[in-house]
Amino acid sequence: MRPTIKLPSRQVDIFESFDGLRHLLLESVGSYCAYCELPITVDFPVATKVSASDINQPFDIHGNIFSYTIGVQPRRFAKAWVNQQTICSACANAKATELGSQEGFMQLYATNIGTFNQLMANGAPNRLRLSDDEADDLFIAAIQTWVWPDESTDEMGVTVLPGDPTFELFTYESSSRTQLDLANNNLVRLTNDEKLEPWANQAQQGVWVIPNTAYIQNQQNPQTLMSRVQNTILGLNLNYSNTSLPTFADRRVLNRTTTFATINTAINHLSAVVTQIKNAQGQQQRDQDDIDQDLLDPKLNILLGFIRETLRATGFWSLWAQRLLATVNDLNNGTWNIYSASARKELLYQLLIEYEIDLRDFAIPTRASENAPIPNDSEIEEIGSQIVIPGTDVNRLTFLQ
Amino acid sequence: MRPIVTNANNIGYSKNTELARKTVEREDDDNEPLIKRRRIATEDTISTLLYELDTFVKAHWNVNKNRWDTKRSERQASTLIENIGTGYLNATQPLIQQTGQYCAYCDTPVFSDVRAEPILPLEWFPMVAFDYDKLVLACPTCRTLLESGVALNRSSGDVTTLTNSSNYAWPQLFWQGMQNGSLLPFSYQLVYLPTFSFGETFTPIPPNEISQLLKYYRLGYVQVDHSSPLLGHVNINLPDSPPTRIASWVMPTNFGLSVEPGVKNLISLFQLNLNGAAPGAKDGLDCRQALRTMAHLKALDLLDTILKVAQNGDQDLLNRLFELWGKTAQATGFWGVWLSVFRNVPSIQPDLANLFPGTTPITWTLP
Repeated sequence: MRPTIKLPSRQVDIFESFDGLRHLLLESVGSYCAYCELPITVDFPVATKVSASDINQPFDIHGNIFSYTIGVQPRRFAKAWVNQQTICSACANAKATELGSQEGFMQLYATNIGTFNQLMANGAPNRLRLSDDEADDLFIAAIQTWVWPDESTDEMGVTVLPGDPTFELFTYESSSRTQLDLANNNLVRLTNDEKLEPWANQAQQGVWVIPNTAYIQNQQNPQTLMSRVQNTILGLNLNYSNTSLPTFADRRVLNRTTTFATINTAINHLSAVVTQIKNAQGQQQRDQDDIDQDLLDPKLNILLGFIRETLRATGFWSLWAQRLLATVNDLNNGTWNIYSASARKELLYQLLIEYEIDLRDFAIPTRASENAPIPNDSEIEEIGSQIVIPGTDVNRLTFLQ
Repeated sequence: MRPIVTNANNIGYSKNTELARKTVEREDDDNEPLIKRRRIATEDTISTLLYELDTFVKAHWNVNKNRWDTKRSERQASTLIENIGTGYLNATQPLIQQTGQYCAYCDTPVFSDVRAEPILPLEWFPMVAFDYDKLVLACPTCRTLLESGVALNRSSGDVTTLTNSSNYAWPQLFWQGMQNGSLLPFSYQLVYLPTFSFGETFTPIPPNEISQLLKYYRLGYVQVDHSSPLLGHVNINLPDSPPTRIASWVMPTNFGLSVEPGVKNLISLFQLNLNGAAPGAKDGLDCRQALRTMAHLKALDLLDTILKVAQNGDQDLLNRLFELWGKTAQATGFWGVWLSVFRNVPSIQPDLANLFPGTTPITWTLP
């Protein structure tokens, strides 16, 4: 998952409309699902991180019986900026009301029994009533059961809720697996009935989202972290794929798998062009600075532009980033290992984060005819930079540090 | 608007199978004591219910007054529609396989919520709602516009009238009978829009201003405006200048073709040129025109680079760029935009037909 900074361009208050919130999201982090990373085109449902359902339901948390809403204090959190996220229809349908008060109460019971008992004193066994501070505790407790790609800030850029290192926490596996096998490994959520269906036992070639075990094991509280990562994969059902269903509209796995092949094509072109540029230099002795100049070649620059456009169109930024990273930083790869770490890092930065534009040789506008007016050329700079996808949080990308 | 061809043979969808399905007998509240339960449906075939609905609409919909004869009739029709269900959705996968994951009307790629939808709403035209040749994939926004019930109903005409291409140029029907070399009856053009207008007023951007626009696009001055929840249109935002609103406009050609009124009506039905949020669109957020406009600019940008590389004679790089271009076009959608922009590139039509499944194999003469 692409780590993002969710910085609104204006102050967000509880009177903001849902449409307004979605426009602010698109502006700050781009038109991509924050979870599965599919491009969001015309399928952008309203869905919050922690459920904002105001339906009351009974709870039984380790013998504490009470009623409360499925969502956490919808009055405040339905439109709270920290609770907003870009999400596609497939992720929204899979998530439904996953992650709400239930998970918050369970988390509080497990990790902060004092606060939990305090909440119970306010309402159990009747309908629970929480103060704003208590609802904040419950919200944070619910949030802590998953991992999140977004860091929420206010309009001034001050962090309100930090995000997790999601680029490192997840990785991808291209393999042929059955849905049942994935379910048995906590990678997909199937109902008991679904587990008995023939399609669940048929292997399908796919690119699956899996926890990055090597990374997680080196972090503090690896078991808890692994559990949060698995909760996220299962809550969003990121690996669910029932292609036998004629009405199946959830194309996340299929599109991820197609994009994987596209990335391989792009990488082949990238490596081939870099090799051509290197070979064009002949066998002459070159110092490191000279060698690194290969990666600034105009021909390569043109190719990078096309790769960026393909990335923007297909989505799945993290999949692109992980594949590019694995190729460009592979020290056993003779195409790439001749370049310095800083030159390779710069190339990845230009491909994935931000790139320079130099239009000084841009064609002068031509007149349509002798009598046509000469178009005005405004006094704008002809050198600039463009971001690849808005909102990517570079500080949480260790490969760019 | 992409002319598409679908084929009902050897697919996982069968109208007869769907119509032979039985509705499930249901009662309104399983928690109520048996005596209080109200039966709201009897076991019946979908086919029977479709016929019943069709007969009911004929009897109780006042075509001239454009309304139901009584509120009770409206409720009864709703119950019938509910009991018929949405079995036509089973055509979703076959249609995706045959025509790709694109909305047949607005050409937007829909990655996670594209569904089969009858071109004529089931509630008004039940007898054809399950016909595979009258089903297409539609995005949430176009679905909502069609399902709103006011767009097309029994007062708009009968099935024969509404499927006549001179009335509505349905993507899988309008091209039928046309030959290679036929004129494509619609085109896409970049236009300037007045800042405070939601109507049809536009000014085509002159060809001599396109390169300047491209420069602004590359430097990031062309942006989707997210500053207002009601908008979402595309602006050129130059420093210290008021925004200039632009759009990729789809319009019928002006060749006097019989299908042109149908094109105009389809554009109007699905509000394809609406600048910003479509009234009644799903959750009010309608990004179709903004997506099309940005796709148009992207296509111009890529074409410009391709032409420069071609001028330099670097065939190897050109081949590599074309392969990536294909992946980009496929994922970006908007077949007609790519066709308009790349119209002078030889073999563009078969190339696009390969990239966008189900595109009619007609070589069009472009306006």
